[in-house]
Amino acid sequence: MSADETETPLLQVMNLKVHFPVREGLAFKRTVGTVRAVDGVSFSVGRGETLGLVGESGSGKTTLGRAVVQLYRPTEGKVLLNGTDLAPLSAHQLVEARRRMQMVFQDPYSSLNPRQTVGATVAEPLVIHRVGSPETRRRSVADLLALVGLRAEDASKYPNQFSGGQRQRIGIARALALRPDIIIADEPVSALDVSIQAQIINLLQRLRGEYGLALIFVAHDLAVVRHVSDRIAVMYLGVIVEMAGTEDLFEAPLHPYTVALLSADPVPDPAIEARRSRIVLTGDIPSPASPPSGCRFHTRCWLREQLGRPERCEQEIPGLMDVSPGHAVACHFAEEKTTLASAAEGVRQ
Amino acid sequence: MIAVTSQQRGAELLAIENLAVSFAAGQSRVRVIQDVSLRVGPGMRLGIVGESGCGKSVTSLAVMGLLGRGGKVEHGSVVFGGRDLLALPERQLRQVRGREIAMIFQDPMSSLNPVLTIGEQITEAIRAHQRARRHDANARAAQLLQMVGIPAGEAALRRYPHEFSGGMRQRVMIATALALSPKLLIADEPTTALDVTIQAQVLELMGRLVKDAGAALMLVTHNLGVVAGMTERVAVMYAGRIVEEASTPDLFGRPAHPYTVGLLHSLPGVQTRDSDLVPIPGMVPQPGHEPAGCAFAPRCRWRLPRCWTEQPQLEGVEQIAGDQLAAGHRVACHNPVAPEEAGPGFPIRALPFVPPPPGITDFTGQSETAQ
Repeated sequence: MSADETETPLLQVMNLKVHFPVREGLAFKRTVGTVRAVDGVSFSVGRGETLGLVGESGSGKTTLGRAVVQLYRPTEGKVLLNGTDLAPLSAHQLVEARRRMQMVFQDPYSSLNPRQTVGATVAEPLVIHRVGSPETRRRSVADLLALVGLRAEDASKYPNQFSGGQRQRIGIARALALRPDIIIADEPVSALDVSIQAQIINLLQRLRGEYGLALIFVAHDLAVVRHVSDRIAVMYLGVIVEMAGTEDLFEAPLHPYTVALLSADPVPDPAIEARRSRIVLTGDIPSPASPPSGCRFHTRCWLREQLGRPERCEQEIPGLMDVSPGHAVACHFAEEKTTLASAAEGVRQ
Repeated sequence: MIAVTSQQRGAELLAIENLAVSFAAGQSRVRVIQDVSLRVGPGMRLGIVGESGCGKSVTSLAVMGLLGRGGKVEHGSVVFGGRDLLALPERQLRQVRGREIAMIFQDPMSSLNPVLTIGEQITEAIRAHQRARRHDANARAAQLLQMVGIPAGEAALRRYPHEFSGGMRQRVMIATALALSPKLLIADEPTTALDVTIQAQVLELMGRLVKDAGAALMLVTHNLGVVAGMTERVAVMYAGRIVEEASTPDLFGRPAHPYTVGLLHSLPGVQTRDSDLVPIPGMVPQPGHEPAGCAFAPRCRWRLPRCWTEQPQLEGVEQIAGDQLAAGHRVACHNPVAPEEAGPGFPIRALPFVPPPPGITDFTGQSETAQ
């Protein structure tokens, strides 16, 4: 990416918050709390760039992906696509913006209409945006199906005639119909078996190259994210705790959560598994309805224990700060690199 | 070698011999597993891996006699501690199940009863097999919860499954399963529904408790990373059959079946960063629609003419390759992958084109290049 392109990123997310009210009662519902699913997230994605978004259930990664496409309207903050803020747009105005931004969902079974032919599903975005005539649309559908490795005849079939991997190809063809600048893919391969997963990953990689497509790849599988991403953001309880270039993040993770996450991921190599030391976190991820004070990770943080439980972790919210160019981390003690590095030693392969 | 030592331990704990299971499909029956033979020695940790529909779960359910209505054992035996479980009457089987062989399932929410408290479910398991007073069973249950890292045992016993997180529920399942010190624990995808950091907790706990209890482990999973860290022997299943079986280091270090090689190459790793993954082309055949020969032939880049027609038998690799290193390494393949071909990025062997028999799709793309 050249310098002038970085100045105007394709997508800019600024201090995005998505809160869901928790309601109780039957007839007169009253709001008793707020789930802070995404709570102040900022990042940008350049043209043709792939940003990996990792985190565990409840980290807010899926909500964030959906809020970027405005499937959830943000509570606060901005989502700038080519410099235009999408948050204040009406549903009608959003239709136009969505030409440039499409989504691929996790479950290839529930994300396709079972009563629509594959051809109709793939053509739908073209119909909505009044692109071409019925005749040219038919040709576009055939081209799109060929692009994702399906046959033109498949257009007249129904989703139930396809396997999971093939359905995910159909979902990708639909997302590509309008030639978007960016695709948000939410766990696009996690419902698939490994051999099929590899087919879909290769397809996405090829399309990126051919169309200069940018991608936000939301996933929990670290090996997959490492394979596809240029940069990775790690989320915990609604915030980004670390963001860095892919190799930087895997080789020199700085946030204690990232370190633990990488060390917990099993590697398909018995020799590595036998000699690596795991940092096993205690407890579960806390509820996003009542996140811990200060640093949200402090209740499970192994580094805080090692440092003798400094009070700062409970009291002060750490900001996401650049520690080196392109490597940002939200931890008060990220500078304690010596401690961290020795702890991370067992993680490196 | 681990494989040899576990055989030297003498008497097998579990011996599955030539097992075949079918399920009803409309008017006919479809074979879902065939010719499955496996041995588990006391204290041994065996992994069974494969993708959806390969028969790995059916194998473990057959051992437990839990196939349900549609499932039927066509032939074969499951000998556990000297008794053929398939021949035991249900009453006696119930004595074995839970007490000597315990099982943990993938989804801890659906395997716990939502209307009973955690305490009631653990004590039920204890009192079904042991004469214990309610009070003693309760104390034991609280102790078990403590052991699996759920504090405030007494209070936790009075809570319901929905009040627990996925990781906690799975720990409750492990506590219940190990309550009676079984000799064998069958864990079917025990961590698939869990997050990575919780998976690490549960695996660490399961590994420690199985070891402390001296129990054997049969771990059924699709996750090759989990198998690499948790087991000493692995069986790989494809389309209802075991296609390869070896000690864990041997299986990962020098896989011999093209399917195993394909699985390992499909996984993204450190080396794959700037290259394409090597997926296995095509998809798994529908049960009952496999070719007459090897079920993997339509997707195989190593196949020979005989693969279409002749079912390969599971044989020792040393018999095929004359290789003494591979003791206890078995593979069902007419043309096993040579060790030097199994590395990532190695060019696939160029074989003469063999047209598939009528009605069978060739996924390797050789049909097109040959025309």
